[in-house]
Parts: sequence; C-alpha cells; structure tokens
Amino acid sequence: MSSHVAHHFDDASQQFDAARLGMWIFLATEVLFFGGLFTGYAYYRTLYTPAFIEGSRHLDLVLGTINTAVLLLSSFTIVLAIRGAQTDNRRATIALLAATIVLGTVFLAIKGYEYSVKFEEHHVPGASFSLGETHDEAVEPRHVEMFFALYFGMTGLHAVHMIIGVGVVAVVCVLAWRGHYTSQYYTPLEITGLYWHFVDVVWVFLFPLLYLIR
Amino acid sequence: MSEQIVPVKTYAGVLAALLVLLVATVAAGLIEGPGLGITTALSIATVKAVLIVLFFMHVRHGSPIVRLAAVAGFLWLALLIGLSMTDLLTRDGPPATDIPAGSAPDASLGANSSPTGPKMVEQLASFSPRNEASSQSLIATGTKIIDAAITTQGAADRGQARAVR
Amino acid sequence: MNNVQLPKRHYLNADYNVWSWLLSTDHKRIGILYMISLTLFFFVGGAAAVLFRLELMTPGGDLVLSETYNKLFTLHGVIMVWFFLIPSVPTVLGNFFLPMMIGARDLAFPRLNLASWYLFVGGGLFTVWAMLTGGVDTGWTFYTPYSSTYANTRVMLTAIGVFVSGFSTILTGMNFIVTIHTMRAPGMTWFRLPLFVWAHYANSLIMVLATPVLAVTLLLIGMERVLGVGVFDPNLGGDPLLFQHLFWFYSHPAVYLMILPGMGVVSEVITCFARKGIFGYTFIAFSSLAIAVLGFLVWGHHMFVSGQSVLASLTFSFLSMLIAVPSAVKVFNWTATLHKGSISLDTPMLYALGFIGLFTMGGLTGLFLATLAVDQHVHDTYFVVAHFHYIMVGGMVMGYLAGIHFWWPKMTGRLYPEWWGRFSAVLIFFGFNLTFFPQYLLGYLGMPRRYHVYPDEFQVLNVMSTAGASILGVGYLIPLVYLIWSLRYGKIAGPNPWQATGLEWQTPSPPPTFNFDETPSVTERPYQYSPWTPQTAPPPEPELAAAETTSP
Ligand SMILES: [Cu+2]
Repeated sequence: MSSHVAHHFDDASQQFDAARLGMWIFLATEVLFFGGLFTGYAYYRTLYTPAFIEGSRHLDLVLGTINTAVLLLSSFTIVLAIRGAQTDNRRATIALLAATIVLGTVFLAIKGYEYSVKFEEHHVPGASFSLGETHDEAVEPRHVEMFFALYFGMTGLHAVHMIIGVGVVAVVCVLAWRGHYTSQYYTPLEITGLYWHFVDVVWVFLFPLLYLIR
Repeated sequence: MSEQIVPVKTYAGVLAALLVLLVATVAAGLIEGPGLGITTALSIATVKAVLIVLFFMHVRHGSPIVRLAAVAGFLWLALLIGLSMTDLLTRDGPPATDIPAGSAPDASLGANSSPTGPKMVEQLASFSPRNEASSQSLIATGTKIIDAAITTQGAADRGQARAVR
Repeated sequence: MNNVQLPKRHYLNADYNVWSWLLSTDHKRIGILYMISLTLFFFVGGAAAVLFRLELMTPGGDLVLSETYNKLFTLHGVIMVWFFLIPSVPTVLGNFFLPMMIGARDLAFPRLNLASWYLFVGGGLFTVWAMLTGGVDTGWTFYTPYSSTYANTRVMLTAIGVFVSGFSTILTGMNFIVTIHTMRAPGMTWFRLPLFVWAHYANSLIMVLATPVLAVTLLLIGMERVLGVGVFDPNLGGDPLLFQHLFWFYSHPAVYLMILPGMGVVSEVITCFARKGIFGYTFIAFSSLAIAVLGFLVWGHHMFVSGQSVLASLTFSFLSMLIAVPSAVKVFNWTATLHKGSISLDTPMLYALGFIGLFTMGGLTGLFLATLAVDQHVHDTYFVVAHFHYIMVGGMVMGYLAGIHFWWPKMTGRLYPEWWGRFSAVLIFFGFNLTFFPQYLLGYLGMPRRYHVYPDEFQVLNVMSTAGASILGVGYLIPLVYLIWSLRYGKIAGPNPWQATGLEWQTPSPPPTFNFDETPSVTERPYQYSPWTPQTAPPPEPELAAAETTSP
C-alpha cells in the first residue's frame, strides 16, 4: 500500500477510480449548471432572432476564434502533461503544465480585453446600456441587451471556471515540481485535466452560439 | 494504476482535427440564412466535444459507469431544453414577451398579456367540473380576499402574477 | 443475554473534545452533526407553522399582518424544504448507515463530507438570519416577479443561503454514488444491496442532476435584479414561464428527494418487523431508479394554469400519470411483504405503516392534480397544500422518524422507552390527519392557499386543522425528550436488538470508529428473516452459524 492511499480505501486503483468517477459526476452537475443559461439562450434566441444576430455582430469574431484555438491548444498541453506523469517524465510534466497556465492566462487576457471594449461601447447591460449604431434598424435595443446579458452571463461563468482552473493547474504544477506524481500515482493530475477539458468543451459550444449568429 | 498510455501521435491528431473543425465552424457560421448556421454550428461543436471527451478525457478507455456519467449530464440538459422549448414553440397565444417597448406596466393588465392562450383556459374550463357551491361562496366573499390581496403582493404563486398587478 | 454491555471503544468515546467533532471526517460523527443541526432547523420551521396556524383559527387577520403572514409561510417552506426534508434521511441516516450497509470503512470522500456539513450549516444559518431579521415574502418557490421586480424583502440574501447549501446537497449526492460504486465489501453485489442503498442511489442521481439548475436559476434572478435586464420580467422582454420551467425542473425532482430516502427506510423496517423477506426486491430497487428518471419529465404539471402551451400541458399530464406506476409498485410490494408476516407493532413499524397509508393518500391526490381539468379547479388551493403535506410530512417525516427509531440503538447503543415511542407514533399519526385532512376539504371547497383571511364558512375546518397541528407539535416534542433521556438512562441495546440481517447490525453498538473490526465478506441476500440469516453468515454448516450469531 502506498502512502498516497487514504485509510478507507483498499488500494490505489480503488482510490483512482473513486476520484475519477467523482469528478465525472461533478462535471455532470456542471453541465446542468451551465445548462440553465443555455436554456435561457435557446428560449430568447428563438423569440428574438434578429436581436441576437445584431448582438452577435457586435462581438469580435477574430479574437473569439483566436481564443478558441488557444483553449484547444491548452487542452492538448495538459493531456500531454498527464502523459508525462504516466511515463515518469517529470520535466515534461512541469513544462507542459506551465504552458497550460500560460495559455489559460492568454485566454483570460484576451477575454478581459474584449470585456473592456464592450464596456467602452456601453454594451454592458444595465443602466448605461446603449446600442449605438446598428446593422438592423428594426431591432429592439432591450432585446439586444438581453443578448449581451446572456453573453456576459455565459462567458463570465466560463471565465470564473477558467480562473479556478488556472489556479488549480498552478497548484498541481508546484506539486509536480516537488515530485509528487509518478506513473504510480497521478490522480490529482488526471482530475485537473478532466476539469480543464470540460471548461474547454463549454467554450466549444459558447463560441459558435455567441460569435457566429448570422 | 491501470491507465492506458496513449501515443502522442493520437493526441496531436485530435488537436489537428479540432483546429480544422474550428476553421470549418467559422466558415460555416459566416453563411447567412436562418436555420442553416445554427445546425452546422451545433453539429460541428458536438463533434469537437465528442473528440475531446473520448480522447483527451480518456472516456474511450473508461469504465462503463464513467461513460454513463459523461453522457448523463448532456442527456439531462437535452431534457431540460427539449421540454421547455416544447412549451415555448407550441403556445397559441401571443408570446408573453410581446409587450411594446416603453409601455407602462399597466398596459400588460388583463388576460391579454397572458402568454397562454386565454383560449386554453377557456377550453379547459369548459371541461372542468366546477363545484357550484364553492364558486358561489368565493364570489360572495371575494371582496374580502381581494382586499387582502391588495395588501399582500407576495401572496399567490401563479405565473400570471402580472395579471394581478 | 441480560448482561450485555457497551463496547469499550466506539466512535462516540474515541475522543471527547469539541474539535474531534467539528473536524471529524468520520461519517458517523458527521451524521450526528447533521442530526443536531436538522433538529434545530426543524423546530424553527415548526415555530413559524405554529404562528400561522394560530392566525388561521379566525377568519379575520387578527394575529399578524398580511406581510408578516407571508413571511411566516415563506420561512416555514424554505426551512422545511431545504434545511430539513431534503437533507433529513440522506444526511443523517444515509451518512451514518450507507457505508456500514455496504461494508465500507467510510464514504469515498470523507473530507468533502465534512465540507458539505459546513456548507449546509453555513447556508442554513445565513438563510435563517436573513429570514428572521428581514424576512422574505415570496413563498419558497421564489416566483418572479415577486422575487425580482416586486421584492423589497431579503430575497437575494435568502437565495444566497439556499445556493450555498445546494452545493452541500450536490457533494453529498456525488459522495454517495461514488461510494456505492467503488466501496462495496467483497461479496456485496448490486443485488445484495439493501433497498435503503438503492433508494439512496436513485436519490443521489436527482441530487446531482437537479440541484445545479436551482443554483443557476437563483443566479439568474440575481442577474435580473442587479442589471435590470429582462431575464424573466415581461416588461423588459423576459418570460416568467422560463423561471418556472427552470425552477420546476429542479423542484419537481426535489419532491422525490423528499420521498425516496423515506421509501428506503420503510423497505428496511417493514421486512424486519414482519419477519419476512421483502416481496419483489428487484421491482422495488428498479422502481426507485424509475422514479428518479421519470421525476425529471413531469415538471410542467405545476404550470397548467400559468400559460403553458396546451401540447406541453397534455404531455406533462400524461407523463405525471406514468410516474404513479413505480410508486404504486412500491406500495403493492410492501403490502405483499406484510401478507402472512408475523408482524410486531414496534415503534419503527408504526411509523412505517403510517408512511404507507399517508403516502398512498398523498400520491392518489397527486393524480387528481396531474389531471388538467381537475387542476383548474383545485390549483393553488388548500387541496394542493394537503396533498404535498401528505407526501412530505406523512411520508418523509414519518420515514425519518421510523429510521431514527429503527437505528437509534445502533447509533447510541441504547434503547428508547418503547411505550413512549408507540404513544408518540400514534399521536403523530392522529395529529397529522386532523391537521391535513380538513385541508383537502377546504381546498376542494375553494379556499386558496397563502391568504391570512378567509370567508367565515371555512372556520370550522380551519380550527380542526389548527387543533391537529397542536397535537402534532406535542407529538414531535415527545421523541425529542425521550430520545435525549435514553442517551443516559436507556437500556443497553446490544449489537442487534431487532435481529435484523444487514451488515450494520453485525458490528457492536455503537460501532467502532472504522465500523467493522475486520472487513465483512457478504455471502447472502438481504432480508432473510425466515429462517433468520444475516448477510455475513458463513455458507457451510448453517446450524453452527446460527448458534454463534444469536448469542453475541
Ligand atoms: Cu411536481
């Protein structure tokens, strides 16, 4: 029995299975947590299609595309970091986890820039919201405001998950550097990876739904 | 630990596929026209998600229960969206949200603001075995209750609350 | 047999200082922590009920203002639903016995388990504080626009409290599912699991898949209130029905959170006190899963008069009828278990029998409400109030008390006074029916819920209801007194006072810190009462085994 096995488990593999299943169940709850917002999105996109097209055109498609690529790449780096642990390649694990942190930070920085532009354009929902120039004259500004409410709600919740993710990856990176993980024991790495990929999957859906309504 | 070690080549292939699909989404998304964009966008996103889940999240080698957990969340979300949209798409009255901009809240008074379909209420009411005595007694003492309702904004729990105000 | 003694070392005397409780990761101690906190919340929610039942004795608003009345029923609903009923059986009895029943040393994630208790108590105290100092008048459903446009009360603070405790529910559900999957003792196959465990498995599925939707709904209310954007407000372009869809997607399954664990308890108690194997084990096990899944498909029956489309209403009505099938499967199987059993009417059995009768009445009236035309008539009347109290109080509270009395000897090592136990069980049954049966009549006659004044002709039934509530209140206080009394003066129970068959009875009472001195290996199906065979009986030489186990 290795020292990583808690007293109430029989062996490391039981502990690994438990942790992984637990994470998957947690991710299922996360799907439904985001799901409420997706339901709201489906509802109002159906009711106010022109307003949603209008809102979408005010988003920066280039930055959105770059961010998607950044996130997909970070999923690749973290999965290789886990592979590094599986093959006892500690240096690779540390370097790839660091790369993941960098990519996550780049994503958040671009997102932050996009938010600041929206703020200047008065596209943040609330008292000071104003639509400004429109592509479609007939569109109702308060309905576009609802699009932006969903945009900020969904990407904001996603960004919160990203911030947590970067923090967790930083922690496991330090632990990897201290030599905590080997091919015999890398449960926390695998669990962190699952979380990171999930956040990626959410973005994979958010991107076309928000940036690409035409 | 009984994890399969997947070759780097596989992971790289998945990443390449994901990036190609990203380009495809953007290209398809730029096509104008109702209905076409969302269908392609969601199909491509689903393919991408499946790739990530199967390969990056190791569900391909996962136990049946892990696969079930992975599917359950999405299945339940489909239930939530599917049944809610069944309601929204088949309402026969004007949508609840069809109130002209700038109209005072009072403009929404009355049954017309009901998203229902007052029609539905009528239809069903004609079938409903109303208890005569109780309706009478309610009408007789209705004033009392309405008085109470005025001081009690938070009393009833109907969705048609806006009809009350 | 008479000189049974408490074991020298057990989980209760392993350590005495406060931190050994507040930082304990032992599932048994956490179960006790939950029991204490739930009891406190129960009496807060009960006190609110006492006040509004007093108010309703007279047709006029004589005791409290309408605003206060609204705050009282909201307090009652919020506390009872989220801080008593939903956590009751799972967090107390589930926490304590689920690992023991499957032969595990603890839950899969003991520290998360402790964290969920802190989230629960933190969220609960915050909610109680918000509701006692400012109050909320929206009803426990937080319907918009009461909770958004028109709320001047502490809606957001209360919602935050509920939101936080929601995470406790999610973590508990996750912990249970993982534990059942990965921690079963050797030989404990899926079809040797006690039905209590099956019920908790189904229950945990709901906890995990429904609760996050409540969380995000509360978040959306916050968004609408803070940003002033139309999420649900029709004046701003929102749709209040979206709120109801999201809310009931959580809250209808949550109704099953408030009954499934109770069903699990009843399955255990019925077989033990009928001395007979359960009838239709697999049917009961799978009906729990069927209830959990179907429970997600029926939420629109709360929206028949809200303006939902006719097609959606018809669909939801039909699906709501379907869910009666697995519920009926359970009731029929319990009844068949009783048939030709040698029944002894001990306290847990009295509660369990009460459960079956009251749940059946609550369930059947639920069918009335699922019928479109009847619902037009009784929607939002006292008929609905009576219906869900028959399920939640007649069902779940009875189930909880059945379980507490059944396992009390195991948890504490001591027996409660049986005469008082039976007396209060009968008293509660009587008080309950006197409280809520008149409410069916009131509702059918047309008295709407949530008003503090009513027409004079409804007074007789209301006075009956209030009288019943007083009896019910006394009935709940009696167990509180004698259970605490029994901690010191109760007779020593011994490991298996009911001669039950489950693993939890094959270890000393109270159990040692790691539950079993050595990991049990399971050789038998559960519920073999005639002839009596515990789940750990060694397979060869049956006579010898019986002789050994009957004299512990
Ligand atoms: Cu329901």
